[in-house]
Amino acid sequence: MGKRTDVLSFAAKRMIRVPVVLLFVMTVVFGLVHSAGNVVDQLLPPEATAEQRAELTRQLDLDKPLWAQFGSFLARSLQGDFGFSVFYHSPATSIVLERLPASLMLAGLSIMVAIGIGIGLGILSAVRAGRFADVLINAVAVLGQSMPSFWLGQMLILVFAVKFQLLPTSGYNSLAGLVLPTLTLAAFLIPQILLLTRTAMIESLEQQYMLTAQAKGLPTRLLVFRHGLRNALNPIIASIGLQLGTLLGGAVLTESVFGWPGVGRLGVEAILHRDLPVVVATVVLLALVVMLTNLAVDLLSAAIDPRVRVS
Amino acid sequence: MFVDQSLALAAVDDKRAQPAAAPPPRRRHRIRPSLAVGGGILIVFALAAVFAPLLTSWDPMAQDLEARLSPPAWVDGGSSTHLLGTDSFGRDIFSQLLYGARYSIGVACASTLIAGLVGVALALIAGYSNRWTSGLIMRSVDAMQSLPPVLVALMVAALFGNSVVKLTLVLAVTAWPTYTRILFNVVRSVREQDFVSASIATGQRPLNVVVSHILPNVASSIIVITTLQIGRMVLLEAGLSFLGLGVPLTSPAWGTMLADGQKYIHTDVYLSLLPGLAVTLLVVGVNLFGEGLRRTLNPRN
Repeated sequence: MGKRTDVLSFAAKRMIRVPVVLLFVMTVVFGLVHSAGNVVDQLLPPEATAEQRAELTRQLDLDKPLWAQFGSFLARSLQGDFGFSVFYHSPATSIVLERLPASLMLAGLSIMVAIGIGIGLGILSAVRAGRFADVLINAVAVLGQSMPSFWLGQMLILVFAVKFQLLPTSGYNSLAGLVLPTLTLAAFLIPQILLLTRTAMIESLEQQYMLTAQAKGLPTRLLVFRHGLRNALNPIIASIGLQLGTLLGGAVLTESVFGWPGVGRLGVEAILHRDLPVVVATVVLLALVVMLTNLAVDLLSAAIDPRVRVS
Repeated sequence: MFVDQSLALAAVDDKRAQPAAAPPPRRRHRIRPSLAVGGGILIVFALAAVFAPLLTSWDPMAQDLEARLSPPAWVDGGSSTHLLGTDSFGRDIFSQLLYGARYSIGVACASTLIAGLVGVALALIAGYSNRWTSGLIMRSVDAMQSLPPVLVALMVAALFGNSVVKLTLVLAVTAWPTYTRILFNVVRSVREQDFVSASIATGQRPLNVVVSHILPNVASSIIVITTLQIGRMVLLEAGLSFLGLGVPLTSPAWGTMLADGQKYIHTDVYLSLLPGLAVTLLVVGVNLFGEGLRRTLNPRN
């Protein structure tokens, strides 16, 4: 097969997966909501009248068989209709979409910071493998992996906002308010990126072509960046893709600690208010974001590394 | 979460280890420092959890209202009656930490065990069956991994109420796909080895082939994933309990203590600091141990 068709068939295969996986997600969500008991009780506040109950039962087709209910749930969801939030007095979808940018901004910023710091430290520790800097960096990485990120957030608030009063605890609108939440989320990603970079760099530094390049007299710095880093890039991208669900989900806790107005906190609030339409909309839309990002990641890695397309 | 990288490495190493023509040269067995330190930490925590009643005289939920919010013994105003101080209800922090270890370790181990059984079984089935079945299983893995675990767990807790058993099951539900995703590729590559084809050709039943040839070859991956997964479960459990949807509030749990601590974070730092350190130290132990295991079990390193 030519390179062109190769890429296209790979892309097509991956794209077909999205609706299939989405169907699975919807089935899980539908199954959860419906096995929990009477949906009307879940959806309506306890003080709802009998008429409101009857109206909702009819609206949600709850008087129909289960497969028909699932069908209409699918059909409505595909049109972006996850129901009406009684708590917020507006459609669930629009509430979630309103909060999504804040979460994506935080996640995106943390990923960028994490890539910068992670790759930098990873290269440093690979070049100094076995020496003090390497050991220290690895120790900090293990520590970072082992901390609950919401606790790290609390401690950062305590040190930087309360004790030294250098930074505000949070604040969606100011640049300074971004620092602590971004650092907290980034701290969760850095160890992994760092270790992946380190492994890939050490491996590629041992390769024959590095020796050849060195023999040609190319400066070490150029070698490290041009040849070493290139090999590290793909696993890093892939791992970030896989982490995204956890990152957006883990942001639930970070957002709660920092009072960040994102979807994660919205999801938690909605669950505590028993605001089921918002809960379902949050879960499904977040899953969709993760799926689409993973698709982009897959396509990107296929573009960078031809081996991915073949496997 | 954080372990995926090590997990991926574990799988990759396994795959590479198989086609090796010659057995790896025998080396003298030396216990790796990470294995020893990690194992040591784990033993200390396990002992603390098991012998909690012997190590403290305080009931973790008993309220000593005379001594509310007292600091640890070594700080001004602290007393040796409550070694690590008390919380806002006058409950002994040290006892709560000891008994909380039972929940953290118990829930994490139980949920990982369930997730491991389900995940390994599905990986074996997917790796061994036709395109449709394996496609079905792997797409459900994709689906589960695109759902944020914290939100799924929260949703279940909100819909079904929270108890320790439900919490364990939910954590297991969010964890099995990691096993299946990593092991699927390993199983596939083992299946294509000559000795497996040979045993299939001699007419062995699929189940026999899986148990006698495939399972032993993925065992080290399973062990490593399991260790690292336990750390992940400890963190997730702490997070859910922190949000009030994990271990029920009537029981001592580190996450619940952290949630209480947040209310007093400006005045009584120890209420947040100590349970956070307990979680971190336990997970450091698990991660070090897992990393040590990974390196020890992989002949390539």
